[in-house]
Amino acid sequence: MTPDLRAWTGPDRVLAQRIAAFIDGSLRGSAPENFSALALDLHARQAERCPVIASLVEGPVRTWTDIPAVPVDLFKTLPIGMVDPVDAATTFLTSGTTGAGRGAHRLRSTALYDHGAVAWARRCLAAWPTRSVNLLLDPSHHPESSLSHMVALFAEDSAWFLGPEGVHAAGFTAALADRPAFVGATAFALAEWLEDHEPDPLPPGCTLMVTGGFKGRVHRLDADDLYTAARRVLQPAHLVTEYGMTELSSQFWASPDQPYAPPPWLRALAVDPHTGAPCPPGQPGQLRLFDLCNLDGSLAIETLDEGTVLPDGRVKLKGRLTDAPARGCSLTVEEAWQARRRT
Amino acid sequence: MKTRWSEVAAWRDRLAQADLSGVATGLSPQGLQEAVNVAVHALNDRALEAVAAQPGTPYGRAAVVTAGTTPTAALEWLALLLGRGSEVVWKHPEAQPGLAPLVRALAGGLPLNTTDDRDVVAEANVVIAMGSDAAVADIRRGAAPNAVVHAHGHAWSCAWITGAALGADEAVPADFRDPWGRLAADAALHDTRGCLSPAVVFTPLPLEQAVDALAEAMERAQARWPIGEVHPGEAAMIRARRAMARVVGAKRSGEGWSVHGLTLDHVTAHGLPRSLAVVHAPDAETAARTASQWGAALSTVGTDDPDSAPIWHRAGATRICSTGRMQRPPLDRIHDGVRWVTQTYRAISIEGFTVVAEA
Repeated sequence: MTPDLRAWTGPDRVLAQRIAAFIDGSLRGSAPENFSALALDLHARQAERCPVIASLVEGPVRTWTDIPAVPVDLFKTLPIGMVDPVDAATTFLTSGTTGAGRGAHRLRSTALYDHGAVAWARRCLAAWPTRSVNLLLDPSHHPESSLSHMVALFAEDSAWFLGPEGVHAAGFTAALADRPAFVGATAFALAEWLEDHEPDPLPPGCTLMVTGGFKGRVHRLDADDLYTAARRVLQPAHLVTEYGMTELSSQFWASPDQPYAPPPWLRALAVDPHTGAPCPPGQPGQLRLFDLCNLDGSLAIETLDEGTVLPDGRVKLKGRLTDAPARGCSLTVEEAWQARRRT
Repeated sequence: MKTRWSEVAAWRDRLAQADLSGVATGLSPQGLQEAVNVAVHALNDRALEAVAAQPGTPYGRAAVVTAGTTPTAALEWLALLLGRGSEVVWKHPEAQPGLAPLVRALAGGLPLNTTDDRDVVAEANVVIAMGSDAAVADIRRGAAPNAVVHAHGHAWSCAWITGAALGADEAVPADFRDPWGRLAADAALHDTRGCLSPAVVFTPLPLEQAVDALAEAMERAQARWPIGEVHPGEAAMIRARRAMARVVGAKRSGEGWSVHGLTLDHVTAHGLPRSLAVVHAPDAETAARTASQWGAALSTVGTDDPDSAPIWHRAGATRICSTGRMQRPPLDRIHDGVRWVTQTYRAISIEGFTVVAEA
């Protein structure tokens, strides 16, 4: 489906059209232009419109890897991107439990986000869902959750069973019934469900998606243990993992034993966290992500995650950098869960 | 129970003379030596005698659980618990025994053991738990039901610097007794990790002036006590704060140190190794109001403005001291809002009885 790009005007409309064409063309195997060329034009426009991005430029920007990446921490207190708060049709917010403010990703429209997210998920998921039953926040009550927004795109028939107090187990179990569904869950919500609610296997044909990070503020989940438990107890037809961020508009997908695959319009670069210099090929480093779909935010994001970028662009994700503060959509659940365990 | 104060003093003296080469703590050799010097100095005879004179009953068995961020943090606890007569086990971080093997080897006949096994807390009558809030909560769950647990979780510290000269202080290294040198010495100790380290510097001085002055002092501190290991996440956070300073303020850096001038709206209470955030605030009230909004417990405020003490106290600070002394505290002090030395023994209060003579 062709995205509705009317929210953008002038040179931004032209960029939006180029991005949409890149998404469609690259998925057909013939991107209409070079990634770097589009990235440089997008960066130039963002630097023109966003003083923060402009002020981070320290040297000549000749190729996409030269584009300065905005550290995710800056989103908490600085206006990043091309959209004033009053002009934002949608604002996604990072988890806000650290007391240090919430990062904001403002969009004039989610048309590009939606177009790219659905297109890449269709490519990565073995079966396209007709309904979803989720251990995620309800997007109608939490429009600030980019994760819930994304999952809501997958099926009109969707239900949500996570709140600030944790998993709504009874409703979730009832909603699963005996029909196939896409089941989205953050890692901590899934861990809570498995540990505290003794669930039955999922109905046949279900796809289980796990996302949201494994390192919490209170404890750390072992990813392999969680996947093993999920397979053993829930017996999903498909188990997939997703890696995304509020500050991005595109997502990586994988299965638990495989590297994360980005769409053609999203690239990763591993850098030395001490210097910011690119790591030699095959060496793990701090991940910078370059997302052409991020027209309204910042094309380039510097995460606090560690990973290795493979020659084909896929990413072996190692988790948070040592001693980096925890963040992510799993944390709210983790804290609620932990609070109950203390009582 | 037999007290062991003289044995503790002898242990302290052996530690003061110990060869620290080969002890891996993440600090540089010079940084570790200075940290040990400071810890040993705090355990001077007069301080130990004063604490020994306090009445109280020792616990039978004590466990001291420490984080890896401040390798000498356990020493004062060990000294006081052992001096009272308790058996003590020091549970150090699993991946980083740090000073523990050396301290154990120098203990002589003192009943001190070291381990990385967290289960030891289950056998203790008193548990001293230091570390992140998460680690402390975990330790508390592992303690025996009737054990006394004294938790010292996450806290942070800051400085309020007006540029005023302070009087001579023998505890502060001689060539770091100028206003900014004192602060740089505070930041250098333990590489700015730990709850007594200044994470943020508030100043009424012009930002560029303060940043330049502190940068010069940080360079001096680096030459005297080179920085140790910086973890990847810390390095990434320093670069992120540098980016923030590039946008909203000023930045200075050299090998092993950085100073980032920020604004009140863009600073957070996040301590980073040898990296200080400097913020202009028109007055102490404004600075304290900002600091009090950050949620986490405010521990120490180092300052050259003693008149600001009531303001910081109202903002939640539990210890206010001169700069240069933030990480060089006296043994008997308020820490995290309590007189910590009292946590090393069992005190008792017997009240409300009227003695009636038998007829």
